[in-house]
Amino acid sequence: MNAYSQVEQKDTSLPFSKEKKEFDEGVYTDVYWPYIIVGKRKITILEPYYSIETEARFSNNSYFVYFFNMPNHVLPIKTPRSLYHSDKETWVNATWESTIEITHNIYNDIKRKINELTKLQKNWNSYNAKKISKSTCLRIITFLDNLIELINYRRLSLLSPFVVPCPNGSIQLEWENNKKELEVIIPCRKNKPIEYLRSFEDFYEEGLINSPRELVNHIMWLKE
Amino acid sequence: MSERIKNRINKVNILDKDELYRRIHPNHHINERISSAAFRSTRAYCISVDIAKLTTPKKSIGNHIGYWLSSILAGFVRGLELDVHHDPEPENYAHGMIEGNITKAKSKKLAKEATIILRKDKKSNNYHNTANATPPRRPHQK
Repeated sequence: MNAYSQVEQKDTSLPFSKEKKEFDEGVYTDVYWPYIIVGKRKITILEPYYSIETEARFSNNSYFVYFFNMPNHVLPIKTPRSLYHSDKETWVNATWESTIEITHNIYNDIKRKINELTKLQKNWNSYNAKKISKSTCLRIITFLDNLIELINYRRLSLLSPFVVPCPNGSIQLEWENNKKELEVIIPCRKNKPIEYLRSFEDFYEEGLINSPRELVNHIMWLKE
Repeated sequence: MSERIKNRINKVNILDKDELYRRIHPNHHINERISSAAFRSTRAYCISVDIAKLTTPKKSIGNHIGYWLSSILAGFVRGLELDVHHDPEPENYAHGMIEGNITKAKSKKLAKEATIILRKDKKSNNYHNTANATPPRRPHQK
């Protein structure tokens, strides 16, 4: 029994074309074949997957694939798969990486760590460090909200940063990846700009971040 | 003569080879490395340190549980165009200052160069001397 016949037995009402081996657009549940949409384009997976339980979103080069109802334990994370690109009418190799789920988990973790910083008392570092105010925490969470929205929109994945309190009451986010490091400092004062430092071996660059979009560019530099 | 005046008179010269101690708060421990935030201050132009030859690691770390004690050479600090001098305080004769334009990049370099020589264990309140250990390496993140 091949995958096509399994699908046919499962749900004969699916708009499935056996000849073209692809589905029309729409929402499906309990599907043995992965369902793919990229705008109005139709994309077919060469190899079949088992049904999934949660929605996940994947990126493959410049376009995106949606899977429905697939259990995580059989989900091939970062495994090459062949993919038929209907626009280009060619088979390509794909690398799968869950983006939305990772992004949401990281964001909740960061938010929790930020809120914990408000518990630090004056002189918390034994060198007269200032307390981290709730308004500073709120400002960084608002900034992260905008960042996450932009990351989701661009279908990127967010590396997990370290959350570090600064002695002057600011909060620093630190990312590191492949010897590259990025620090972003959210100031304790509302009228002060957000600053960054990028470093890689002997390279150091400091500057200001004027929007979440600029930060996304720096995060992309980390991942290059 | 007051202690303050005595301390002011008895300032020592800090040589390039002299070590400087800086306590590292647990929030500035990132895996086995030190965050650059540990080498920043409430004021942008100075950082407090202890002059190693005027104190001991245990005395410098004091009763700060969970802290690390880091060491850095005065010569390295001066190489970053920062000044290092003895600045005795009434309750801490070993107190010193790193002064100058402490940029984010310089804080980062200080953090990278600093070696962890003592750890005050959170759970047992014991000291773990790592003075002869290999300096901590940054974990390679995929």
